[in-house]
Amino acid sequence: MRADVRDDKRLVALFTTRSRWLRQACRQMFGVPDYDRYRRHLMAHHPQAPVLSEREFHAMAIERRYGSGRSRCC
Amino acid sequence: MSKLLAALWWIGVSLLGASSLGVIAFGRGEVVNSLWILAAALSVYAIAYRFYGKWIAHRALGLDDGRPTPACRHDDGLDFVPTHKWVVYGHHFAAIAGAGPLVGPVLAAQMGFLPGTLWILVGVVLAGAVQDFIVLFASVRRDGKSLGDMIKTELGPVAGAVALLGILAIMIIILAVLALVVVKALTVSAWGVFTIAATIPIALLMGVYMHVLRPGKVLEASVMGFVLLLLALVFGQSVAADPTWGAFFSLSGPSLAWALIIYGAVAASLPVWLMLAPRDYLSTFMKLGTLLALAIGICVAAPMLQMPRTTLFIDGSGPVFSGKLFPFLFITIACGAVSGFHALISSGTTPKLIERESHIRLVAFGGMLTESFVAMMALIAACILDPGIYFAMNSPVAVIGATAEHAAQVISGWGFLITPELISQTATDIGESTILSRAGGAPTLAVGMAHILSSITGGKMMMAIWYHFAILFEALFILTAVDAGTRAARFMIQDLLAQLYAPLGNTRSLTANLLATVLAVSAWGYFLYQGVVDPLGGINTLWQLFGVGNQMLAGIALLFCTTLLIKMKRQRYVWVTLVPAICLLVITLTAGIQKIFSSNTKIGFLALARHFNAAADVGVILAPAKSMVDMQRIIFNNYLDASVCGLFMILVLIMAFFTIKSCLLALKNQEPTVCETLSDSIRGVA
Repeated sequence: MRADVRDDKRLVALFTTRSRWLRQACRQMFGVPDYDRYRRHLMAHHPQAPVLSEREFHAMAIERRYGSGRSRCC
Repeated sequence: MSKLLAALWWIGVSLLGASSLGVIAFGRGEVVNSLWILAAALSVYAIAYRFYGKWIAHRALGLDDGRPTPACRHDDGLDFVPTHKWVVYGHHFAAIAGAGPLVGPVLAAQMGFLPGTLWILVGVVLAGAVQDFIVLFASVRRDGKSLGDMIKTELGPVAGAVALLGILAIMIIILAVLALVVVKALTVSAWGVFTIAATIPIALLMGVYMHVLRPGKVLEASVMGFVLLLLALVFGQSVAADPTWGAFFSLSGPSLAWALIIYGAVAASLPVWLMLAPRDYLSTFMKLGTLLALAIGICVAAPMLQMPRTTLFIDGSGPVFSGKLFPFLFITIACGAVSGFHALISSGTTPKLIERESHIRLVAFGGMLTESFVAMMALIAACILDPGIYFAMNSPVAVIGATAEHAAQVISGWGFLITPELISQTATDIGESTILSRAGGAPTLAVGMAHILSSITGGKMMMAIWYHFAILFEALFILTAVDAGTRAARFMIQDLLAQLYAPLGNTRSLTANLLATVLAVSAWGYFLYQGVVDPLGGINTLWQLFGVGNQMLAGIALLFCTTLLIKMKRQRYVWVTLVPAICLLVITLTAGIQKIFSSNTKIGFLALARHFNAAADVGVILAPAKSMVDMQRIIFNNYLDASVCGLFMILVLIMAFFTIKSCLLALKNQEPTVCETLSDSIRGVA
């Protein structure tokens, strides 16, 4: 493979990981947890535990975050 | 070499800070550029963060990265997630920044820009940032427990119950005052009411989109919501111009108050995914974007401050709020300098995301410094306006009258020359029928923002759009706070009711839920309505009540931090929290005593009640009352306000008593007596 093509590929890879990281960071800033991370975490640490679907996971996250009201600042 | 460079750099920052402060405080005669305030603020923040923050982290608290945080120990990918420190910082900042830092500095601008600037800088470094820092630290060491729970374990169950009662009372007042800010901004403004009303269907649409179609895609939904919101904003101008629809959306103060009360009750009963969550995302998105735009706007436009350094109103005769600089400046600017409410947020979701203890300095101390910067921008936005316009917008009808001519005459009499034409012209520029007596901070800030942003983009043509954009941005997150706060108050009320009759605490019972929701809404709704019909504007009473409560909560939080330092056997550093705690106690108690007992009817609740009582006894009806029933209501409301203020003072005194008791007990003990989740001895095992 030519060097410049390899460099291009690396750049694209870097860009995709960066943009994925950036999107995740934005979501977390809004208080939305990352589903992929949750699934990886369960598989690695609690392989027997039932895994929530993406929809259930987000519904639960919203309920946890807002269910009892949030004391927002003035 | 690098040490030398660092030393030179910090000497440079200190010199910049000192000279900017010098220009702000002592420059003679010439008009000050707002960039000097920004430069002074940024240098003070940098020095405070680098030196004081670091010193607290290493010496006073002894942060230890070897100690696993709750996020690491309980990592479940859902509630407890170790998160990058800059992301937690953003999350924490989005949670603490609300309407508070935008309203307080605008009201305090009546005393000139200097008192507010100095208090924001001193307050945030010595009190606000320290409080947020140590409360977050305490919560991280206790599995992310809330402030109420921590006070219960460290100071005892009675102190815990007292703190909870105080938190509930402040929450009610906060909701009322925030709702009042919205009412003041939207009264007879068809354009404003239309855009705010449009946020409801937009939030519902976003909620359904994220719940049914694309779960978790918060950015997509927010961008979609934002675009729709901009369309509503632009379309709103035509709606307001239309004779039928314009009249339909042009609402009086009392009707708006009722609309908000009904909205609060309904919104707090809907499922959270449908309205609360999407609206919160949308408001976070708008909040971060708008604050960034404002910061860039001030830097590029570099506007001059029109307001003098200090005005004649530091003697306590101001039209925006009555009372002397001490103590009232210090309770008017709460958020931005020190806010007790942050103690609740620092012990909420943030501690469950902290990856390492050393990140707490950036998240809490840095987050609070950023909030302080927001307060500084609000102060600048208010002070770049012509002072005549500022006082026309912020003085109550009872003082300046209802016409531009009369207002211009009164305000010019104070020495702030203004013509009725300029007042009417400003109203036309921003697309409103009047700007008179729009107290509450939001409209003034919006005019200031419109000035700054339209001077760099769009010119005068865009001023009306920018004004309504700024109103929308503030009203949006205030309405989110009303919804979320009503829910939180409902749960607290259910907790309290359960003590009386257990089934009322059942959060699954529809009747119990409805009862608690109605109680919560009527509590803040009562104060809101009282404020709306108050001819003195309501804000000057309610905001001060809120200020006393909020600073009292900060005092309680700092007293708690003091107990913690002593229990950790770090009493050498106790002044870090004890000094600000004592200052806040002195401020709140003095303000409280004056608000209740002052013989000046503009300040003291009891004096005003007696004044009306005496008139009622001889059958005289005093303005603003129009009947005996009005008279009785004014008397009752003043007694009520005095009681609320008294309640805050009693609560803070009880807390001070418990603090002294626990501290004395802890001082006798040779060993640390702090109740952390992991004690040092079992750390290795965990």
